Amino acid sequence: MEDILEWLIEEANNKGCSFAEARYVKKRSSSIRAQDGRIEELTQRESAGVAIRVIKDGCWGFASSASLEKGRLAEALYDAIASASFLKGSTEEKAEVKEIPPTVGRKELKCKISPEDVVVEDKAQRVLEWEREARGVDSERINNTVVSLSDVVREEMVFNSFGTRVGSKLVHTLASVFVSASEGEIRQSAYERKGGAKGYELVEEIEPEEFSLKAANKAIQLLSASPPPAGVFPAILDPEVVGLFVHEALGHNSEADAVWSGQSIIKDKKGQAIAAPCVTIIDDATIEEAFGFYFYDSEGTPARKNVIIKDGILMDYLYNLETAAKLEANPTGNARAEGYEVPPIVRMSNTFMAPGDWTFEEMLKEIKEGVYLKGGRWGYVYPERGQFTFNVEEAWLIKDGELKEHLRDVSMSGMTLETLKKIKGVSRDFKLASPGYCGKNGQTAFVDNGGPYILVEEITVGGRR
Amino acid sequence: MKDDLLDIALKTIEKLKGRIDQADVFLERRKVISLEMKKSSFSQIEVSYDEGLSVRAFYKGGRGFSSCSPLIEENIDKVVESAIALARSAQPDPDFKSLPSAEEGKEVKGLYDEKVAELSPNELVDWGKEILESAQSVEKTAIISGGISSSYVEFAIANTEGVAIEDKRTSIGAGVMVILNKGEEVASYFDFDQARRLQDFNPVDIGEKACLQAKEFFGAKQAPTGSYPVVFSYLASSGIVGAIAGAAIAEEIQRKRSYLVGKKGEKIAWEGLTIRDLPLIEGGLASSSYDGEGVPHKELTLIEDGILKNYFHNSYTAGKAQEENTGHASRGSYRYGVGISPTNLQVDLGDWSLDEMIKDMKNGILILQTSIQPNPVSGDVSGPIDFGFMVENGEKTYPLKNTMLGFNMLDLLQKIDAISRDYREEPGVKMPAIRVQNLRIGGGR
Repeated sequence: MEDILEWLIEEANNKGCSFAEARYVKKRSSSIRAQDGRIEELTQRESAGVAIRVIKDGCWGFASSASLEKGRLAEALYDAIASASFLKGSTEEKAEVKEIPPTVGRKELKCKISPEDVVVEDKAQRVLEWEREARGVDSERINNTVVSLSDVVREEMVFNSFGTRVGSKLVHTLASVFVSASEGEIRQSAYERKGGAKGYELVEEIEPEEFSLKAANKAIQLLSASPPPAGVFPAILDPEVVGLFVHEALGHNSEADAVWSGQSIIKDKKGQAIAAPCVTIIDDATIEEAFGFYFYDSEGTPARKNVIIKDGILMDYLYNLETAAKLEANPTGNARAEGYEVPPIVRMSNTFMAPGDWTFEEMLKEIKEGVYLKGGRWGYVYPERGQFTFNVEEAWLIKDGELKEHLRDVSMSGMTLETLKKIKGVSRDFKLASPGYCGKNGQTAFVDNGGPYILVEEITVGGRR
Repeated sequence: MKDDLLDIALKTIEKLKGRIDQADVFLERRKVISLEMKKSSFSQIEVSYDEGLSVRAFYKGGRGFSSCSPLIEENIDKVVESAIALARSAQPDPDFKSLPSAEEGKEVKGLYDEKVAELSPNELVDWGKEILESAQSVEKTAIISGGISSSYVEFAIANTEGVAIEDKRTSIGAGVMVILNKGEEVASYFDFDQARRLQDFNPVDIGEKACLQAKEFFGAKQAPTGSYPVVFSYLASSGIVGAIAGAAIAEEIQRKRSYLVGKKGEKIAWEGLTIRDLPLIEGGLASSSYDGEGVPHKELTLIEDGILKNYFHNSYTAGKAQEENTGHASRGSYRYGVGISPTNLQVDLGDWSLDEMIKDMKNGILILQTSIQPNPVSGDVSGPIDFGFMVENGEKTYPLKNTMLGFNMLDLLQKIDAISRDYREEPGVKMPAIRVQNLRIGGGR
């Protein structure tokens, strides 16, 4: 494959491209799913292909092919070059990339137990055990359990016309359990997941109390929780909800493509205080075993730790080669592509708020009437307006410094910049354990996020009473 | 391997026969051209070509799924072997009855258009320029992003029970996001157009429409917390309809993960509400002759006069429930297995105009777009109003920000009290507005 990638770069140079990048991606994944006491599906997927990106006459061109024949790949290269020429004269700004010293290297994630060495029967056994544990918590009221275990082995090679030649191999393993329970007309569900850039050893480390039993107990407890009140409240956010906030509300705004195109609410705020002084936010792809870990990004730039906010001050954004050139910065290793069929775009990796010095109890005491929000379900933002919304798994009404009523189906929303300034306290306790997939422009990326507990002066809650 | 996809599919089925109880195979080739717009200009053209296949094998009802790309002989053998091995490792499933057998479906016109299949990136650039100009004609400083994309897909489905179909589709779509700045204030809006045929594709004015709409969002405020009547305009109402249909998927019902469990035959909504699933509409975005397992499509009534009439089935859920297969098996691409999904969902039109609904409500809320994501199990919704207005004395007064909706889907369905006769149309579906009485709104103190 290396020979073909070399040839593609050389041919692009010969055709007058000022920049060329050829990227080969091969993925193998397997998954196993048990539902209601039975292994119901076993899945294997494999794909490979090449992506080619060029700059010619100041315009970008991109093409990809699932076929690895040299003839087909040459056609793809010519498609990419032709695409660039179709844009000639129609773009406002010239396409450019930051010229950085080339990176050469090959790295492979060493896992203790390669998922490919584990026979499917062993995986099935484990998945069935978790399923049985969850269902066993309350076989009367639990009426659906879905447990799945999946692993992905991803190999990527990036060659470009600056001389970058990198290859890497990563392994990701993810286990999840979903439990739904009902009592009369009330139906509730709960979810737990464990994942990392590691092999089958992840499975060996999982404690049922923190996984299958936890999800089942949560679903049962939610049956007797109340719908939330509507209105504006002071709130404590747990590390998972903080992770959602940091990723969705701030993280996407710190992606330099949004900054460059004018879509970010922090586009002209570098060096300014945009958060309370107790807030530090970091994106770090080098955290070993975290779900958003990688060696090189999909442009071949080595991964690194990037501080976005330090003590409330906006330090910098996350860049790829293109936005680094446009905004006169250095690439931060945040260009990621899901596969061969799409170009790399600016993405986060492991994003978190750094811990502080409060305790959870101290935060509780600060609140006369408010909410404690725990466990992120989903979230989304309109980055340009700075509005975010999160749905949390469970919540508690806080009265006079004590957790009172258990609440279900709670969503909260707020304005990012207002909320960042209204953070009053940040806890010592810290957790980075929300492995998941982030979607952007139709691509998904493995990410993790987290943080401490935080105390926020006000959050809007959508309720039914 | 440039053979006809159906030939490869049938050869693959031959390799599976006799080694497993039942199996099906799906093959696909896809070419996509897309133009990306950023910062009111063009940033990139992408041309991608993808191909692959997947096999589902069944052994005593246990299921093995394997997929691979590209479409080369050794990959086909690899997928066949791995699907068989996986199915044999799965546990027997007595609920699996059978894959469908061959049946002739009705022809649906207008799903493939040679003019779309043969579009060049140049033509996408021409449309892109018109979209940008139309937005900038309203507001020169608008920050415009979005894209235009055309695709051509050919595919084949075959199974061990005699199903053998092949088909091709085209689609084209454009979407545009407009952002306007006034001092520290930001207003935005999104609009789109999509079609299978060139004749149904009219993207030029989406820039202008999005820009005009965005302008109305300056000066947004939080609504006071309280209970209000709410008009869900065309796109917002289609979100509600999609959410209801999602809860009527038989897999969700059988696994007791839906608030519509046990509701079939019951009156779950206002008697004026009828929703049909229409898969055979000419040129419809979700139309096709067959479903993802090769079962002929036909019309289905989801809700009639407020009564829940049906659930959406594929072959597995229909067999398990011992009901007729409604033909709603879906396949995203060769990489994914078979799910269940509705097609073109049509609400029977009412007799109000949107303006009359707003005037008549006096004080309430008008929602243009919002994402309705109920907890599928409980039907509880707690989410923001993405793009909406306060209505006072029958007139739109100010745009909303940071305002939340809270309701239960079953409660909302009963509280509907009006449906519009005017609508927004996308190929295959007319989306009317829906008004609901008394929803809880979380906003300012």
